[in-house]
Amino acid sequence: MNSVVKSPKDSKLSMSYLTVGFIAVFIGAICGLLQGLVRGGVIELPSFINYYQLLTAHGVLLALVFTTYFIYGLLFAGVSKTMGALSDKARSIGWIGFWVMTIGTICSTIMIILGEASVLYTFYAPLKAHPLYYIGLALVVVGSWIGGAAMLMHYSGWRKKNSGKLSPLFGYMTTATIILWIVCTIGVAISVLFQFIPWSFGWADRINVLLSRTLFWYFGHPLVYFWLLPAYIIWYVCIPKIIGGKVFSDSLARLSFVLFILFSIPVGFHHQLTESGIPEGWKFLQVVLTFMVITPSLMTAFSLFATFETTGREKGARGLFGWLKKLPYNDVRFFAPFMGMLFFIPGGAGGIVNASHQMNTVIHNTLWVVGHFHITVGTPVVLTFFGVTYWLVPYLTGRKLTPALNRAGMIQTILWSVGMFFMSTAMHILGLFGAPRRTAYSTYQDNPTALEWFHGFFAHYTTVALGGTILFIAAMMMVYLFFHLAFFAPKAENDIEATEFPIGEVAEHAYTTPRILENWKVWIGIVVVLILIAYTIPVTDMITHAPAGSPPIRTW
Amino acid sequence: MAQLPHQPNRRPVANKKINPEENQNLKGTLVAVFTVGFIIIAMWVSVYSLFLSRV
Amino acid sequence: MHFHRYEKYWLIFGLCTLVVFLTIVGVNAFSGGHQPPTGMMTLDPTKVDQTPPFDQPGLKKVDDNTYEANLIAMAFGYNPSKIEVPVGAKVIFNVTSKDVVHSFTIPGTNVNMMITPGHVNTSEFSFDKPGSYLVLCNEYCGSGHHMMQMTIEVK
Repeated sequence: MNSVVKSPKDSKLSMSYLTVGFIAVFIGAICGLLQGLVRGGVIELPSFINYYQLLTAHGVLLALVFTTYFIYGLLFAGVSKTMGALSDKARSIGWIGFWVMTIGTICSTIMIILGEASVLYTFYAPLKAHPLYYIGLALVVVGSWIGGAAMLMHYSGWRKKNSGKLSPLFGYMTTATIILWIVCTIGVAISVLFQFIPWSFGWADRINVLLSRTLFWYFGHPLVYFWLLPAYIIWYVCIPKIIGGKVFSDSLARLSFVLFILFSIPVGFHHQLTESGIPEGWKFLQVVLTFMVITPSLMTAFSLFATFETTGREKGARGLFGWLKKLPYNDVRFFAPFMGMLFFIPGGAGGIVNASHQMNTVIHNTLWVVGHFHITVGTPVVLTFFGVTYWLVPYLTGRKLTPALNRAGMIQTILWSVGMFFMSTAMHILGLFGAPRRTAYSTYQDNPTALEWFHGFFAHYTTVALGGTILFIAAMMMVYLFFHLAFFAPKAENDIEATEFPIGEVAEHAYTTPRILENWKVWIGIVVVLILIAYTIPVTDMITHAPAGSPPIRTW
Repeated sequence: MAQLPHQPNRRPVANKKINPEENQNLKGTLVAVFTVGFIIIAMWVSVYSLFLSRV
Repeated sequence: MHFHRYEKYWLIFGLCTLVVFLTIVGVNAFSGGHQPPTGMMTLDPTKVDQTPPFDQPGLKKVDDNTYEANLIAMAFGYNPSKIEVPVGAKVIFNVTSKDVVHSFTIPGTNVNMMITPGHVNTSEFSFDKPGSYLVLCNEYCGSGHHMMQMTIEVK
């Protein structure tokens, strides 16, 4: 069948992506710690650092750089594992993508460090950063297209060689993730290339603010699914193998990914619910579409519990919940993603609240939102990625995850979970009281309303700082463990000792998978139609009825 | 699916043929997902009440 | 494609729940009039000071119990920085920005809206309890973002 021999050249490509990702974690986590401490009133920053500069670096390095690099490292390794080694051509394209992304990342990071780009990763116009910041981010996106093209080439090559066969689930899901990414990044690319870059150079005097925000959020919500889908790949494909079970249903897993492609894009207005210039009807239409994208996550929840239950019962579990006791909680490869899944329950529930049209005014731009994305991307996705690191890195480098490293990983996971519990709970509660997000330490001239945010336990900024400090320790531990696993963990001497890339097999009783699920033209066609329905009229209005645009402004 | 020849972490899995549906006891799963559903409802209803109380 | 019986129960329950949520917010918004803030008026963001009603920012009485507050958000404050309204008054806030994106947010109320330059956003609130209400900006707008505030005195 497929190549069973790991390709060392592909491993090197994956490791390069992962390494840049963890360097980003190192810097991004330091920024996060400082933010938490400033916000809690514990420390004051020296005059040469601006709080919002840290905030920009934290967001760019963790939400954009770490995620994208990690995802590419993981997906390249997975397609090489399940569909055979990359062709030399595809691998070279993967490398070109890596270098284009890396040049872009370095360029943007330097601008942030120089204080030329304290505009946050959402870069809302008319705040104007240095043109190199936008060019750097554009290169990151273009580089990700190039790397994505390499994976798509590999997938289509596999299908040509294996015509009539069902593609491996990992390869299928990777393809879905890359398609989603390409379709959604077109929005931000248009905005950066045609709005921000000409305007930041002074070639255009003014910018259409509402259009730039709309294009950003056309990208900004599917972006979160670009983070989430690789975690779902792990949950669907790898976790069953790790716990000694089978993939519950191949076809339902594929169906859920198709639904993500369809419904994760035409939903950006739910980030702009409290904004002028978009009629209520169009906002509500996208709210409805947002609710549709909950469906595949409901399916995923069922599928995961079902995998756990069937595996537990095959191991002899009895009673309603006996299977819960059969899960390998002391195996970090399972425990870390599992903790992530638990956090995703309130995380997902909070997301439904956020998207609920006028209810958005309760939480919009409050700390609740910060709490929300820390228990969605910041824990379910990140803990899954950390859990993956413990086997992926030794798999790629031919080393072993020793029992001692497994224990270290368990401690790391517990620290992250505890830190996140304190930080995110406090953020959610403070948010309901109206505490703003993206804001340095402030008592608003000792205003009684603002002073309330320094009282109690969970409704207290200092609890945010406490949780953040624990998270920082966990992050540093993770960075250390990454480099340890990459360079110092004992080498596997033979195949028996080698670390496994866990790929679950489909349960024997599973039904056959309908072919239509692999017909990408159909799904891309439908998503294009949905996007046109959701966006054409309001965007045309934004352009034809646009007010005079905004000149560039620097307020930091 | 091709696998590495030896896998240290592999656990033995019962290899008997299972009939779909009948032998698949998913009662625990049903209770678990409905618990998730009620958490979603509880959270949504509390924030909606907060919204109404502030109207 | 095959769904397990329980998965059908779960998905039907889940989808019904979502439909109920959507119906509740939909009815509340479209019949109850509690829409998210959606001002459709536009103006030139570089000429805010010359454009009515923002050439005379402040509170304006509309009728017995209704007031209009026409306010300008800017880095890093609001003009005017303080308004006084009588207890029980309904205030319609019309807010625009002279420079970058801001918000107009009264913590503890549903008044929380984005203020994008070139647009006027609108929200209303009935001040039934006396006191001093803090208004703050919760959208990052620059190095003084955390100082940006005004107060509404309700007497």
